[in-house]
Amino acid sequence: MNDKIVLFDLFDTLLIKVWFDYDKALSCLADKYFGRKDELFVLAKEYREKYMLDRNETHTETGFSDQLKYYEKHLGNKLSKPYCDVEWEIFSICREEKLADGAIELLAYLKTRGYKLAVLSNSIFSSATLKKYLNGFGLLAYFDEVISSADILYRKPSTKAFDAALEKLGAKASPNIHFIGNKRDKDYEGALAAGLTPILVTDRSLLQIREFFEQTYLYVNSISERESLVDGPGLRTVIYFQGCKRACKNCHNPSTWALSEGKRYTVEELAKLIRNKAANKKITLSGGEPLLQGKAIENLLEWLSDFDICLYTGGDFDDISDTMKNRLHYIKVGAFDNTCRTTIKPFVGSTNQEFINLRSGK
Amino acid sequence: MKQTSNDNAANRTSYVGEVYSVGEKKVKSAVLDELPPEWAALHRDGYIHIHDLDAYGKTYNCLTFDFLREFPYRQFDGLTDTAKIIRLFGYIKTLFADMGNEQSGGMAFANFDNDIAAVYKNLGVQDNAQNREITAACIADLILWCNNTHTRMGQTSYYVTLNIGLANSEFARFIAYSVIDEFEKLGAIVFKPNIVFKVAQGVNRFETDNNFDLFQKALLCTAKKMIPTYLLCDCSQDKEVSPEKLSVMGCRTRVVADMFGEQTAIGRGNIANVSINLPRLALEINRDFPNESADEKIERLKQKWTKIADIVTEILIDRYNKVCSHDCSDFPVNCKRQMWCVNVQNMQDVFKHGTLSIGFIGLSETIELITEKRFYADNQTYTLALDFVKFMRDYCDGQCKKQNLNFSLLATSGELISGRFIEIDKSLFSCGANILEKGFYTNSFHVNVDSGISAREKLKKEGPFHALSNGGSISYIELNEAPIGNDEGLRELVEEGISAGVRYLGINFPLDSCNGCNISGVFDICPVCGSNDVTHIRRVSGYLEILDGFTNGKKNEAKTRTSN
Repeated sequence: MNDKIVLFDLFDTLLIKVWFDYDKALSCLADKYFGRKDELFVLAKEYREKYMLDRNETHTETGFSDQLKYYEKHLGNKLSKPYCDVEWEIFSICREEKLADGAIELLAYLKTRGYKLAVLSNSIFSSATLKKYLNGFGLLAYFDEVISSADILYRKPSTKAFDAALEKLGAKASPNIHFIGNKRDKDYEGALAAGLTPILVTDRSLLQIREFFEQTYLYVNSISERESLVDGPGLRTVIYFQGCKRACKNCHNPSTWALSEGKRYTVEELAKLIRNKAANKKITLSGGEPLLQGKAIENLLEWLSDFDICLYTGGDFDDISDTMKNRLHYIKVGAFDNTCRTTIKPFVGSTNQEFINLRSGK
Repeated sequence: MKQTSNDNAANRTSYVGEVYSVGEKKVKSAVLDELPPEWAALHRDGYIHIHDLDAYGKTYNCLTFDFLREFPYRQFDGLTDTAKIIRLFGYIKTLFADMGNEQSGGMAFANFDNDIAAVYKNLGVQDNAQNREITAACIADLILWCNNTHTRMGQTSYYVTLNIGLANSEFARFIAYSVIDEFEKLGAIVFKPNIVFKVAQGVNRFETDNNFDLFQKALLCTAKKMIPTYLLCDCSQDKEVSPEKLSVMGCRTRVVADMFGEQTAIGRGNIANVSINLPRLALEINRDFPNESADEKIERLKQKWTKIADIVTEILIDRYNKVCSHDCSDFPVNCKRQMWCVNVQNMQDVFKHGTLSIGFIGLSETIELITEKRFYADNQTYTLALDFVKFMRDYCDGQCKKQNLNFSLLATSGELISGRFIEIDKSLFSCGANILEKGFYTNSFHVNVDSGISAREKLKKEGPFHALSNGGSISYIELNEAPIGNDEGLRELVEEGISAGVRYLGINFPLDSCNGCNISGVFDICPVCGSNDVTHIRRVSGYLEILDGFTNGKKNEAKTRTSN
């Protein structure tokens, strides 16, 4: 339930190919290090036929450094630089990618909400090379792990590749973990077989995927064990949502501030949990700032359409969507102001806040 | 003058009070010396507590007034409406003051609203704007009198309870309204008398009931001041009895069944009660039979309790006989005003209608000592606890038949004995340290104040014990702060209480009031004016008191309370 983990494919998922020319890589390799261009091209063809053609059947990988060693052996001369430096040089020369639309937005959302993120790429190039490349796009900082098949020697769709990636994250396979990729056979089928929940960027854009997350998941600090009598009329079960940026002085719930904390629920899970807990169907959505999770909360309200629901926001009346207002019974608006605390005005913490009955007069 | 003791929660000091206190101690000691040594030892050693020891054989405990039976209408002849109203309220105050020194415990009106309206009707006081205005002013004045007068025993306030809510005329409705309204308007610092709102279907419980508005007003007042508390007339135990006949003393005393008359609280009261220290028995069993099973220990508990209860029965009968040996000259005001349900020929005619109660405290600790679990932890332990209380109740029912007197089982409040018993037990036992360390025993059958369980759950757990405790019981809901404006939520608790079988329900929360600007909330320093002149008000034994006056046991309990 709480596996806040997302794995990504890299090429044509986060980075979109502009052009790729392997021959250019080989030419460069010959020009700079080995000479004997024709011989190198023959060796490369040989190598590919010998070691690389069956990769899609065996789901194993052979890394670029092995290829370099093969050339060294057969051409009889040693490289003048470490393999990794040569690899990076060759890698960068033979390609151009651009950042996929919405990639930063999606990654930023996930990172802010405390997800562990990782790249799992089928590539002959090592993770060290991929990391350097990601860094150039400003993406590296989002990821806890970057895993290349060149390092783990297994390729997607092998379950072993997914397991190796999960192990690095200290996690176990679970349908709560999403895998986002572009290839139906390698990414989608592979992730599914590994016990993850795949999403294809060919089905939904990264922006749509971000929307999917925003609409599907809720981050909850806690749910009151005991009904409250001070969070709106009635005995109310209070859901404290995680995350608030206001940092009001003397806030009585500072543990709800950090956006990255909290337990993740799907809207459906949370709705069922609430239904179980609140026998009298009276709840208050508090926090934290629930409006930071507005889209999923709108869905939650849909699930609980027979409930008497009160929303506590530090925002203003106009910050609340009409969809929400139509489903809510009460709202408390206004940020807590330590200088005008009150203990006599019902259901608010400071006199500047307003408690509004949206159904009065109806 | 410094307060000389904290024996009683409501004490203030005065010269007369000091003389009383010194005298009281001597009288108590003399009473004990005159009792059979075995009885006195049980009290001194903390197996039992003989309540109001100074009153032993001299007077009874408490009384719900039969206010109308012999009301002196003739004294109002020839007065204007205004004068009648003022004189009526003067009469009531004098009654409280006089009666309060003739008996040891509380005084109650079972239907203050209807009683006053009935007197008005018989006196010909018209329901008009002017009479309403004077009535409201007199009610405010009566409330202030109850709050501010500390002349009982020269040192303490009068335990007065006004039951309201069944108002059956427009004027009665206005009186009920005014009791709540004036009490509310007087602010947090005025916290007496105890007001009990009687909740009954067909009268005020549901939206369609005529007095639902009064119920809502009562709830909003409770949300601010913890008062009123709620007598749940529709609970399983009392639903067969007409709500008019039900009444409660602020402390919780229940008087309903009568071997010598109809089921009613009116004109009757408790004669005496003796509480048994249940944890003591469990501590002894654990010391003497450490290796026995919980079931074996419970059997031993029943045997030990019965032995003590047999002596308690003798004490109660002795006390009853001694009270009965008095005559009207010992109760001059009551004999003149006729607040009892029958006219007095000899005292036995009156007191046989009263109850003799066997009380208990610390069920929670007792069950925990024996089973190592809280009694509400699982079904098996809960059943064990319920069976034991049923056993005590059966014993009391048995004594009714055997002794031909109104014995009942009282779920005793914690006040005084919760600290006294544990102090003695601490000096005697080293085992059971956890239970002894906290410094108080849990009130009657209550779920521990630190249980952390929800309000609904607490009511569900305590409800079945109410039905067994026919001498009186209460359930409290502890809140962190005043549920200002939340009549809806309090009403849900009342409904939950009724379905759980709770008879009498109180809402507690910390109530601090600034003496500078009258703001109330939860604070040591006033958030509005910054003053540290703050009065801390908490509930003790059913009545609200100022925290500094708490007994040690209660202070310890108040510190440990967590909200439901």
